Amino acid sequence: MEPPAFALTQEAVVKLDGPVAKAGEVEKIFTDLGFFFCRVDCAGLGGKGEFITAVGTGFGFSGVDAHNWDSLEDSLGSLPCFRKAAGYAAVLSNFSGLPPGELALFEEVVRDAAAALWRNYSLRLKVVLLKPEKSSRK
Amino acid sequence: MKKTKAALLSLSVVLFSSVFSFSQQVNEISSPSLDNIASEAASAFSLSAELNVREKLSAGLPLPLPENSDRAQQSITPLIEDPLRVKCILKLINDIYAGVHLPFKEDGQIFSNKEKILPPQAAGYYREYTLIVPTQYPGTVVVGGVTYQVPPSLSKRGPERMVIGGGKTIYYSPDHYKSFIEIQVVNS
Repeated sequence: MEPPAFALTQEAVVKLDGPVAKAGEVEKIFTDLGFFFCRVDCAGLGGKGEFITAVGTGFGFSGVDAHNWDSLEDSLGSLPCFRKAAGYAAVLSNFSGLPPGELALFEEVVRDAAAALWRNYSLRLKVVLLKPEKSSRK
Repeated sequence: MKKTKAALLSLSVVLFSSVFSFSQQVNEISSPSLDNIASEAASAFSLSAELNVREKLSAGLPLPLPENSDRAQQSITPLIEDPLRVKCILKLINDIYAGVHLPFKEDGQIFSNKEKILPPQAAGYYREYTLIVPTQYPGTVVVGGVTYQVPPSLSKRGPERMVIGGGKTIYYSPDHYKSFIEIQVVNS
């Protein structure tokens, strides 16, 4: 089966909702492509510092590799210096607690890192933001 | 990018040499108008070189070191209390300014300064470079009397970076963009 379009485009930040927006399905899409994949659950994170640490931990960075926006961007843009893969992807959920300005900055960090990764290594970085799901329980 | 600029400069030299050579040949049959052409070509070359310098500076790219710089006598201010690390920093700076090919693809790319720890500047003003130090180095470095932690990184590039602003202002970051120390290369 062909992977969905969002997995193949150059757009680094993808926002999904609806039935396809299940972390497990997203993971299968990217692991089938040979990508390194991680899930980052942002529930209960206390702000920018904890958010950056959570994203960094997901990608396997140490504390010094991802402690602020500049270090996170540098590490994401040089992911092959950490581990080899056909590409790199993450799905983030429950991020609504992050201030909107910080989320916008995070998206900018991801886009700039993805551009560097593509320019230097011809590899893609994709971050999928799962929009909050409404309860489906009856 | 560097290769393109170098190629353009080489091309300018070749074109100028051709025009100059051609004008010399024709000057032998005394054609004053061709003197003007050679003169304009020389001016154009001079302007081209000047533009090249301006482009490099505005792009944040380092310019070549002055010819009178004496590498053997160089040291860094403020004092970094680790002679071997100083040696690594000086080598990197000299390599950057000499246009030596650096080992990582990220070397020389734009540092975006998103945290605004460095003074805000136009996009592309800052460039980043990987400072490689042998792994047996201590986990701290003392710069100007202040102790900085150099925590272990899981990246092959390590945690230490040099950032150059506007092709001339040099910063050393021992802890992956948490701290920036402006340094200067001086002759000791």
